Amino acid sequence: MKVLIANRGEIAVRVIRACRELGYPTVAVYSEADRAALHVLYADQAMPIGPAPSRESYLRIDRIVDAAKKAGADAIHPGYGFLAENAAFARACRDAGITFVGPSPESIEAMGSKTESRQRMKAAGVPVVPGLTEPVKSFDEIAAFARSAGLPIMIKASAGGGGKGLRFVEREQDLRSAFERVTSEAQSFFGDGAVYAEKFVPTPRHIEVQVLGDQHGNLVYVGERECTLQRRHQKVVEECPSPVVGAELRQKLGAMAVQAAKAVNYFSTGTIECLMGPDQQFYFLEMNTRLQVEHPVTEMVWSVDLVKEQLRVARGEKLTLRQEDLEPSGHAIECRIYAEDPARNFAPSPGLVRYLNLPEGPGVRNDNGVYSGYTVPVFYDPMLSKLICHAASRSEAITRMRRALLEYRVEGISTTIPFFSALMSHPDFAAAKFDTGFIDRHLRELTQERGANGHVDAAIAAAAILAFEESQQVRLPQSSDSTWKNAGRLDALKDRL
Amino acid sequence: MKFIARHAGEEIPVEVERLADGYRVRIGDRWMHVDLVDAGRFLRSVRLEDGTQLALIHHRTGTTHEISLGDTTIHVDIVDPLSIKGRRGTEDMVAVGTLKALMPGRIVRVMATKGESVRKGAGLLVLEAMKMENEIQAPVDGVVDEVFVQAGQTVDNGADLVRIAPST
Repeated sequence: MKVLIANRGEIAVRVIRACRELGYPTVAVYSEADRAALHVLYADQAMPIGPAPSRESYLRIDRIVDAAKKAGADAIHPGYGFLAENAAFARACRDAGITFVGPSPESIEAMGSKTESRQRMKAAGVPVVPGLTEPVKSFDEIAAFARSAGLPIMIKASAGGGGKGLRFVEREQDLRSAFERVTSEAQSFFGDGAVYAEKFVPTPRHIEVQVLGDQHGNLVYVGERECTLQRRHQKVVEECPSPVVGAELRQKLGAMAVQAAKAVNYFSTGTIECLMGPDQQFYFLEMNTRLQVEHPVTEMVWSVDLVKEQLRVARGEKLTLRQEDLEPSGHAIECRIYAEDPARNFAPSPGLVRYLNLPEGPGVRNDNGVYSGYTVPVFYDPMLSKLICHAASRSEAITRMRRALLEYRVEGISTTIPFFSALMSHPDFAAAKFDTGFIDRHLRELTQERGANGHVDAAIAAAAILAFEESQQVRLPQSSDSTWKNAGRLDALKDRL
Repeated sequence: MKFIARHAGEEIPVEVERLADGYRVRIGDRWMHVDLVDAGRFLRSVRLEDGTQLALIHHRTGTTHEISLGDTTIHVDIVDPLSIKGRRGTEDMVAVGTLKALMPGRIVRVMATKGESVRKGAGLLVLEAMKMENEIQAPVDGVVDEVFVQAGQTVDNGADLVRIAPST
């Protein structure tokens, strides 16, 4: 099986690795901005698919299917983001006789619309968050829902996911602009402007369950993940297992997830996202019909390679994993390392990576998409890598993560590494005392720049030594320099000799 | 060789002498023995008298040295006192009330029109960067003096967006 990866960056590299271990040749695709991206350098073959903006490249179904045909690929792995949850893409693959490494277009469709999936789950007896089950036709319906349910509410894109296309609204005067922003984001990111609203569930935890199924009706759950720590509705840290889920609750969550997946005849990897209150009451939020960004924490703890499983299932193989054989071991934490400046309200920080030192050693996994000398482009999601640490216990996983973050050094652009160092040292994180609002409430202490504690003299000394060494160097003339410059330099040299 | 180091608003006299096994460095009135070696293009290993070792990443822009120690970054200006000729204060002055793009991106929508009065917090334009739409708001009450961009246009980091003349 020859596999084309319809994605970029670290996830494309991750999929290439799984393919290579299974002995499958790989085909990367790239936009004009990505000719020298790491996923291209890792692949056996690479096909251009258009200009830098995603809409003209990574979101172009026709060009990607065309590239697969030209390269002779028999399967397409969509990664996550871009076209991963696009039923039309899965269908276009099927129509072209290419295996889509993921669920059926019918399952994607059923779960892809948040409003439709809420209806299906309600019918299947799965608990859902109270709110609208149909997309609204106008702003008035949002306003009416806000009035009847009471603020705060969440306005969400029906086709949304991955933390994009949603807004939390607390004040009535913000309703309209939030509605307009979500509609506009929904249109531009998901190609569908439909939005709906849900009641906001206060101080919830965000727990999700990994499911894996084959095309023969077998489904298992592979534990849960704790994804409560979020910022702008984007997950920033994920853990497996959840520190608040015991064996009994895990079984309940797992049974609910399998039931939800069965209701849409699901196969491949998928994730059932839930909100859980302090009373451990949980609600179905949405199903992600794809691989998740945070899949590695599950892989580390449950000793399963989810990407390889996806590829096997896509070929029609039966699952060899049985529910009773699956046992968790230890604890894993993932930090999403972004090219963002925590000190400037997480403003994107694209640009040249001048220097890169990646963390290594026992229990450290870094699913990386960049290299030293690489320029992080402005066009895409600014995630550089996912750093995962696995250890026997949660507290050991935290200290291991702190150690790995110290080793991880990126120069040239700002990253979220200092933010994660602060978070990993926070006593409430160590005690697992947090909800989805934790990061926003502690943002100041987590993003304040750290004092140089006694190293200022060393830094001044180093800077002075380097300035001194530079002043001692005499630049030799280069042939490209003008004769005037060279004459001037020779003159300067005379004074020194 | 003598230098002036500027750090955190302070000017500190420094002096560097090369020794057979490193350097003698004076910071203020304190002399210390420091060993510094290159570890590749950007990484430097600094070893202090008591054996403390710091792996730091060095980058120089003009006279500004950026020293990264992993969890903290220190900026130090090192200048040759003989070449200081009123260099300070030459930084570009930002025109009062000019909003600049804090990140490269694309202008999705422009709401502000020239000559319009705006209240603090009013939405002026929407900038899309890295898959997020960000509304740029008026920082003060005032009048829109100039709109430098149009919808659909891509802008670089630091590009002028809108100028507001604050109302007095």
